[in-house]
Amino acid sequence: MTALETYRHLVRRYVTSTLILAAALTSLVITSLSVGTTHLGFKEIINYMLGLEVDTLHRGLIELRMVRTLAAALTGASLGVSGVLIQGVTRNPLAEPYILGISSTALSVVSLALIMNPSLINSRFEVVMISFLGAVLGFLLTLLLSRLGSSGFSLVLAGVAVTSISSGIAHLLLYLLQSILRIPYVYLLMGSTTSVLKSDIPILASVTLCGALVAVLMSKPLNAYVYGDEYSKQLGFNPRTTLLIATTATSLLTGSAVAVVGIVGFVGLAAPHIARYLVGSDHRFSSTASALLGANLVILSDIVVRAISSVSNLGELPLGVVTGIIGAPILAYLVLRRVRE
Amino acid sequence: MRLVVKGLRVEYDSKPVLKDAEFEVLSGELTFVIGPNGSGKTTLLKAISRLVRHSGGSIYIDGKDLKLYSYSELGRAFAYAGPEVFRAIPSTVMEFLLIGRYPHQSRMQYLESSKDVEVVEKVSHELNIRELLNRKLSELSSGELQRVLIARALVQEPAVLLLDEPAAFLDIRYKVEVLDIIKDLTKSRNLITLVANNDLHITTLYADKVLVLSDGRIVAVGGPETLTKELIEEVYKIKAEVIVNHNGRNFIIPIKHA
Ligand SMILES: Nc1ncnc2c1ncn2[C@@H]1O[C@H](COP(=O)(O)OP(=O)(O)OP(=O)(O)O)[C@@H](O)[C@H]1O
Ligand SMILES: [Mg+2]
Repeated sequence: MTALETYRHLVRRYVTSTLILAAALTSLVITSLSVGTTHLGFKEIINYMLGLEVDTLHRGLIELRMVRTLAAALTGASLGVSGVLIQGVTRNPLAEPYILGISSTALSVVSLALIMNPSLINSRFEVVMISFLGAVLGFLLTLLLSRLGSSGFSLVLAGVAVTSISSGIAHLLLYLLQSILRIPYVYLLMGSTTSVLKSDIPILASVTLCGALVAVLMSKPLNAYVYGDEYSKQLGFNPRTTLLIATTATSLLTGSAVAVVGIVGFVGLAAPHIARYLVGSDHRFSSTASALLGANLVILSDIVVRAISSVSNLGELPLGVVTGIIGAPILAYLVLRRVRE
Repeated sequence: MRLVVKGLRVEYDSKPVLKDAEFEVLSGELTFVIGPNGSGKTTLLKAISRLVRHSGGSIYIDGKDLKLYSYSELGRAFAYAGPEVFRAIPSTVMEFLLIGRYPHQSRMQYLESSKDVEVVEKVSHELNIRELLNRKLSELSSGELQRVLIARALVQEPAVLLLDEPAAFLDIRYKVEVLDIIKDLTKSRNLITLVANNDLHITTLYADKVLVLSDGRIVAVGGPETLTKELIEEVYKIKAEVIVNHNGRNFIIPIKHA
């Protein structure tokens, strides 16, 4: 194959994959609006989307489900993008906001802030900012700890250590906070869209959009960065700037997702890997594909937990249960492959 | 074009590694940098391409100090191909080669121009790696990877090409083939090419100019005839012998440790 054919093939693969992922997202959104204790027909939902007349009771139901659905999509997109960014800047395909302790530290810092000042719970924007600082702290702790080793695994092991410690702390603090949280705290530890408010959506949406924009603008510097600092420098990018911008964006994306829906693990791992499988590793393509995949994955998980609760009396499971079932085998596969090498 | 290096000094943790390096090379010249392990060959190439900071001295291209170059101008002027590349994030040879075009693209340009892709095509043809374009970088043999690393530097279309041990892992056929290509390109594109190398035989065959480093100092610069038995014995601390004389060039082989 000539270079031109190879290049065309890359671009074509990206366009096709994006179209398919967008179509999948649309159908998942429609499904998500219809699934629940009261099942609504697709026709009714399409009528609603087209602005046609819909039963008022059902309209209210759709609007409630819309908030959940948007929250799930935005969380998924955020995590998908932050997964790509964090894997790029650590040059480590096992990296993930949850595995590296970023999410759990963000949550424990948020809980700590809520214990010190319970009235914060009414100001989601401030919670997002605190969560962002917590995310930065988590990443720094992991980096500091992994300095002791140098293999790709040492970063992951350090992350697992930080995750364990900070999840323990978050667990304890959230337990103490139960009375003001008004929701089961396992929803924050493992993610859930049940407590998302309509007013959270603009915050989540603006952070996701900014993060995705940064990822797209940083594509070329990241493409050079993954091969080593020497490549960044030669091609005109400062590797430290790349590292700083990408980790800030990751922390912001993860932080806002944690603040609004809690910790949804493994999406940041699964989405980039599937994205690279579909469109290759060029960040211009993989970051947007990973955003779409993340959105698909989390909406799917949200549909699954609601479907389970509508047919059983288990109540609603947290999202992390489903994303873990999808994502953990991917981690296991990657680890096995690494070990064999 | 003329590359002039004046009083170049590099220190790692205040330990001098390159001491007042001074030389000049012209475009169309293939220069081999030789010297024992740790003598500073890699450091010299990296200092010229501004990958390591120099603590003293200056580098000029046609009289213009490199300090005055912007990042992207530097990217169009110099390409360094070393032996190292991180390959943990899976990517293909094509994706790796495409990054070499970035210094030629504007900041806002999102996709490659057809010229960019043509350059990749031409270079991959020249280095005989066309059938590797879709392969994973992490799955190449060391020899294949080495050709891909050189190709990446060539895709950058630099004026100064710096190759660090470009033939270390190649078999004899590819060694000769790759060096033929490097020599041809140096002539046809009028490049300034510096090759760090440890193979005296190859150096004698291909060098227009040799630059001998010993313990961070340039101890000899000149045509291939500069490589005398005495110089090699002195620098490498060995006993050597001149074995043949082909086209007026001395082939020196080591006999035993001094
Ligand atoms: N990053 C670094 N930090 C500290 N010292 C370094 C660093 N890189 C190289 N050195 C030292 O600088 C000296 C020159 O190293 P350099 O890599 O330039 O040698 P070389 O001639 O390329 O050797 P080789 O033939 O083994 O590749 C060596 O003593 C080396 O230990
Ligand atoms: Mg070297």
